[in-house]
Amino acid sequence: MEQDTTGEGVPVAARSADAAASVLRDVQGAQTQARLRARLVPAWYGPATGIFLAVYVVVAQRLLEADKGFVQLWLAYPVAGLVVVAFRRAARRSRGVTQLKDADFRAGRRQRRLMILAPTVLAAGLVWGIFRALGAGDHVAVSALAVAVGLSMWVGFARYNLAIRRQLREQA
Amino acid sequence: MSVGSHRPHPATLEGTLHNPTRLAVAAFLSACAEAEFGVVRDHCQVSDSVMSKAASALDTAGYLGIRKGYVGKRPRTWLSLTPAGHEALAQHVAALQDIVAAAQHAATSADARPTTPPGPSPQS
Repeated sequence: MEQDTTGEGVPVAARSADAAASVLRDVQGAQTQARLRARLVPAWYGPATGIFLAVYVVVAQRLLEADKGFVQLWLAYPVAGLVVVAFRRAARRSRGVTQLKDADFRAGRRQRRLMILAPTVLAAGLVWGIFRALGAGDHVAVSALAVAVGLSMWVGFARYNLAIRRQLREQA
Repeated sequence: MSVGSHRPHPATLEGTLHNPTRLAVAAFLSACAEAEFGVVRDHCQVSDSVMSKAASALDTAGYLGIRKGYVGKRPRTWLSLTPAGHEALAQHVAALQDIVAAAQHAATSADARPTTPPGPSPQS
């Protein structure tokens, strides 16, 4: 029996399979791109978080020092909470792609913790330790800690976005 | 068109998703909760009007959810794939996988088939 072929002598079934495989690759590529784009953090988010955390550290230390625990409890915490919620909402709205809350979402959160939170905590501890070891006072040590926290967050988010953009470029 | 025979209900190619732009839109949206119109358009590398037509066709088929909103003062359109859209895309992908699997199966059987050397046919 003669095989059904195209003009170039390629069997029609083989051409269909090639086309189908190509479409499947495109579908997978689109899904990967969407997942990666959803993980990107807006450019303003890193600096804003860094500045907010730095200011919060200084304010909290000053309140503690002035023995104003009730202001901390009833004003500083709720305001900080509201700011965090507002930041997260604004980031989600300006992101362009909203993440599905699946395994990939959890992987992204783990990656953020690893790339941003862990170095920030490490840097904060290191700066605090060094300044205390050098005999710096509370004000100086806390100010240095605030700067370290803010900068670490900023750099962390920048590194995180850079890593995702690299993956997007490789995938494209 | 379906080739697979291992499923109780063979997967079928979805007519609405034959169009490459519509398929790209559906595939992109299947991996996220919602995406902005401009982001999906940039991903598909099409013009606003082509993207709009694709979104409209998917919306008519009931595969796309469209939400209008604002980011600051700028109007934004958010697209999402409905459960029917997810189902249709899954069917479409399964049908494509069936085509590939059938071709691979056919190629494997052709390789395994014993070949008879060409020669003169026996004459009686």
